[in-house]
Amino acid sequence: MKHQGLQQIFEENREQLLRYLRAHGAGEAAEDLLQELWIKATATVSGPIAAPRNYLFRAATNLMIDRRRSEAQAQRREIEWSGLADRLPGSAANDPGPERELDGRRRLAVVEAELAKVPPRALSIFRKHRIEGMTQREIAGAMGLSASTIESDLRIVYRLLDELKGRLDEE
Amino acid sequence: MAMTHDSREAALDWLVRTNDPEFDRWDEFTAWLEASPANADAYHALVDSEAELLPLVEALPAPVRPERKPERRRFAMVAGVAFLAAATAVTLAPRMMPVDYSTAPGEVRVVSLGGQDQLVMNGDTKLQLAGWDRRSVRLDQGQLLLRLHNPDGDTIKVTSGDLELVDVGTVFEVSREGRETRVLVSEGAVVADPDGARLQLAAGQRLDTEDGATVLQASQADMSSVGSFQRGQLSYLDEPLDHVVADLRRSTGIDISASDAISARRFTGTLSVAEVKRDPTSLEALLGVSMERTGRGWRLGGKV
Repeated sequence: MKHQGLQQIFEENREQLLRYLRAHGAGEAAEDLLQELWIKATATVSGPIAAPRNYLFRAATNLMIDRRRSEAQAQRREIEWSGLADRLPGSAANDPGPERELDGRRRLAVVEAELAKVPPRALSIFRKHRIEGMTQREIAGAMGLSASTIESDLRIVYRLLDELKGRLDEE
Repeated sequence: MAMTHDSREAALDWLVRTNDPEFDRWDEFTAWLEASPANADAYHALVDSEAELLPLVEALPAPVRPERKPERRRFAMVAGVAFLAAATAVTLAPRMMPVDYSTAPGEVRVVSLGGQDQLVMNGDTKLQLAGWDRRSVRLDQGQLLLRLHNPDGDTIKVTSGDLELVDVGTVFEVSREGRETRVLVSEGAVVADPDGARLQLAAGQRLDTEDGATVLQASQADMSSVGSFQRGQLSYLDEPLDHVVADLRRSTGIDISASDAISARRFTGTLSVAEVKRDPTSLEALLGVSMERTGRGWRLGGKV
């Protein structure tokens, strides 16, 4: 009974949610994913939701992010599997041992050096938004900045992280 | 993967918008995604880059800037409270030996602070009580709930790392995990950093900070979650998954951890401690993540 309100919103937005999942590349699986979305959405809700439509689309977004990520990983595993070296015991792919940890520290150093080049205000806004979970509106209010300034600062950081990721993957 | 320059530039704009919790232009976003499969590819490539690097950004210390602004309106009252606490400490503290308290994972312990005042410790928690009438609490690790109803009682001071909190007659909860501190206030008010930022946390507000942070920022809290660990329930509203996992570890005594890839994800809902204890794998469906066995414990999102 407690999901009645949410169910109504879900039914009203069924077609748009299906379209949304397909637009993310859900393909044939869209109907199944919509079912999964509903199960997950209700399993994690305990109280009233302020913006149920947003909640459902947000959940759909996360579902597609997870799905695309696990598809990409499955593909990567297949490629790794075909590499002979990675099938040997003790190889990096099979053993996330000290070598990978060292790699993690080195990655951290690269990220730190690159982030030092980002304007401090942009980085501070990014942290508030993505780590502390403040909304863009809250940050704009707290820092006395316009919405478009917040957006362009966040854009700088997202772009840099994407470039960094590309660099780290190449190495 | 087909990815044009235009797709990437537009995807950056959409990522900025959709990452905002207040975003609601889903139909426009759908239309953009539908325009070309390259758009979805570009968007998800950016999402993955951010998800992968966010834990690294989080691991780096925030730059130090002198941003703690005094709040004038609060000055007189809080200064008075701080003075009182300081005076008490100077005159009476030397006679009291600090006492250490700790709980095992899964254990909940109630410590009386005199009168109706109570301190409830969640599992896997270490703290020290000191000062006259044990009004000075140092939280080293874990989670505590304070219920202070005695109007004549002295103020209580809680320190968690470099964060100091002074109550103004209240019920509030403090958690410490590594260098991070979380404060939730359900009744009355608490003043954070009484000698610096003097941030007043009113009922219904929360503070999330870490040692060395230069800015303290209050936000709205989910009230049902305050002290819920004592009722065997854990409630969250858009809470980072690594906080949820730390709470579960304390409350159930089960060695649960989260992979870097998912620890920044967010969770909304209620978990029953008893249910998770009975069947840890129920988290798989509740949190929407995969789980795998690691020695004596469980790892969430552990698939590589």
